Amino acid sequence: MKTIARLEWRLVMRQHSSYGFILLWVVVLSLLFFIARDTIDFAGYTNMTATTANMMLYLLPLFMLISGSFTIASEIENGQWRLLRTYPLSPAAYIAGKWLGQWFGQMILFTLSFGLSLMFSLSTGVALPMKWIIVLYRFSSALIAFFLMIGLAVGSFVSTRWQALIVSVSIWFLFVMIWPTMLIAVLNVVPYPFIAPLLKSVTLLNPAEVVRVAFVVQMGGSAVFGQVYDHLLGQWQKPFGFILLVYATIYGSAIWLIAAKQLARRRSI
Amino acid sequence: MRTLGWICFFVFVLPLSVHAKEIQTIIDQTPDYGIVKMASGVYDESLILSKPLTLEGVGRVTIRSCRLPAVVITGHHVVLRNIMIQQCRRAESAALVVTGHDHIIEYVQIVAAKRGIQLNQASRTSIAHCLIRGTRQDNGIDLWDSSQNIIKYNTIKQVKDGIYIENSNKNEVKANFIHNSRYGIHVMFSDDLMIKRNLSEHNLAGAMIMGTKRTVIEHNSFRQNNRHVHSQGLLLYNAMKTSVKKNVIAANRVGVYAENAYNVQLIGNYFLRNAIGMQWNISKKNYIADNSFVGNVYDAQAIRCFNNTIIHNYWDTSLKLDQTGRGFSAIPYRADPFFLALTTNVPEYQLFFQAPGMLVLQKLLRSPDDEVMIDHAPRMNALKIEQTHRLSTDPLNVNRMSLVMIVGSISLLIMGRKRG
Repeated sequence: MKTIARLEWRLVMRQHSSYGFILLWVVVLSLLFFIARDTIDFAGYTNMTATTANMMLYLLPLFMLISGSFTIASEIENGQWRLLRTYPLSPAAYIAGKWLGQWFGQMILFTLSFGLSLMFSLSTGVALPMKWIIVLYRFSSALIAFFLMIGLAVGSFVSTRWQALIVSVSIWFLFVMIWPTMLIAVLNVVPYPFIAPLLKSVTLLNPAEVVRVAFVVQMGGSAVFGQVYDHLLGQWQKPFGFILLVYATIYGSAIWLIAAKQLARRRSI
Repeated sequence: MRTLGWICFFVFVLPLSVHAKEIQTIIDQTPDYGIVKMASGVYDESLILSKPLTLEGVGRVTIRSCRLPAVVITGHHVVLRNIMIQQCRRAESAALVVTGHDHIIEYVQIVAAKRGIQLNQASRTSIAHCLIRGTRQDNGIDLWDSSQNIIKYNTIKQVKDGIYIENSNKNEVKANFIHNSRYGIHVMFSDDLMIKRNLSEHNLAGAMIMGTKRTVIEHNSFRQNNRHVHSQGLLLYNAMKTSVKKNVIAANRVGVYAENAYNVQLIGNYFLRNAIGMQWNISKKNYIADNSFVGNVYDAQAIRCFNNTIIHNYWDTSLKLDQTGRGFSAIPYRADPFFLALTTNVPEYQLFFQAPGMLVLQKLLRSPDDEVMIDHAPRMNALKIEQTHRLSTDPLNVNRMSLVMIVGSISLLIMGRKRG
């Protein structure tokens, strides 16, 4: 697992596309920080914070899904996977190594871009509140972690990069773009008493939503979700980080197991 | 031991009660319009001021009372000045009770366990420069059936409602600072009020105005009232012919919530970084003009509203095109109530507040024009208003953080690229 992780990290560092990522993040983040210049008076939940979060939600999941799925799909495509099958390497360790390496590599790229954008914004006289910066960074790293894992699972199911791209974009579209529409459409035909429990449990399936809600709560905007969630979020406010960690562990492990199982099945074919 | 106890009683307790008795006796003996000056010290007694006179503290004067109100003012032309009132925890009544007319209460500090100041059938009374701190159990200043009073320059904190006005008309509430309470200013069934230049922040609601006519709400600042799911900067319920002008409404959950509002004029207000700028429900014939909406997550929502005039507001999110050069855009701005309508039916959908997918859905499903608040000539530029306080941030810390990020990630990047 360690070897795979190291290999993956080095691969991410050496890919030309990595520089593309850095450029993209720097441009997007700098623009966001620049727009935020005049509007961040209170480090609370405002239009700007919501827009920034949404921007990250549009971009990060898609790119992480693609990177995650491509890293496995390309190995399957170019025959490296067949070679690896001859080694005594468990699929679970393979996936875990891939995830660790990718996450580490992507975090390095993102952190570099984040730091550069902060530097740019500071040099143009934009002083962003510290809390806002930290919460945004944590939000982004959580998104990267979750969607890389889902991307890896996608990679273990597909056989070509083309398929990987299609599935990745579909998942992104489902989780980010069409999520409320889909839920509202489905829940409208469900009897009223079932709406709340169903909505809450289905939301847990979508890490983008969970991370977004966590972001809003951390920015102190939990009241915008209304009375229905007040009790729930009020209770969670204190051990929120811990609950998120438990959720991330369970969700990540589940996806990890699915991916490992699928790879094991493939190996036996 | 017992002897020692008696000695203590005579030495410490008796002088105090004699002290206080003397004050009440002095008050009773003072002729009308006379002045009673109290020397520094703690007085454990409740005082009754029933004739026109001035009671003034010289130095640090504290009046303590547990069961009864510390000071009761009746009659007319009583002046109470420079006194501190302390209630003990088991107090059962208001710290200061006022009836009658033409009183002046100023520079009075109240540490209240229950109600701070109770105005009961009082008129033409002025309460100024007072400081009231409560225990969130009761109101700071409570007006019942009291008219034409002036409440100004007071600071009120940690109470239930900062200033509670019920069945009391023609009162002026000016330049008060109310924070960390339930509602800053709470009005019930009172008309012709003047609420000006107050600052109400960190409350559950900045101001709750319910059942009022011809009230003027101007130049106030309602900020950061966002702790609760029902938090609002300003709530107008059953308000008629009321004018809300030039207020700064910032960082609230909902800036202005209006229900059953008729003939309300909402003019020249500054809606800044609220989760929802303004929300209108079952309201008609209102005039909403020249307001600026900047940095709100949602600018405006309205359902079941008719015949309202919305014009010349500035919306920072709108598309703008000035064809005539007169400073107004030719492109109308639509405040779509889609989300409000959706969550009114199923409150659970509130979880999609500002979700990225929700924005897409809103664009897809536009509400019909007759349900939408439309500003036909939005302003091109926001109106100027005094700068609200900026959050101080230490650029040095951010600088350090960005440096650590850059250096750390570059070194890891180089390490990753090394061969071997």
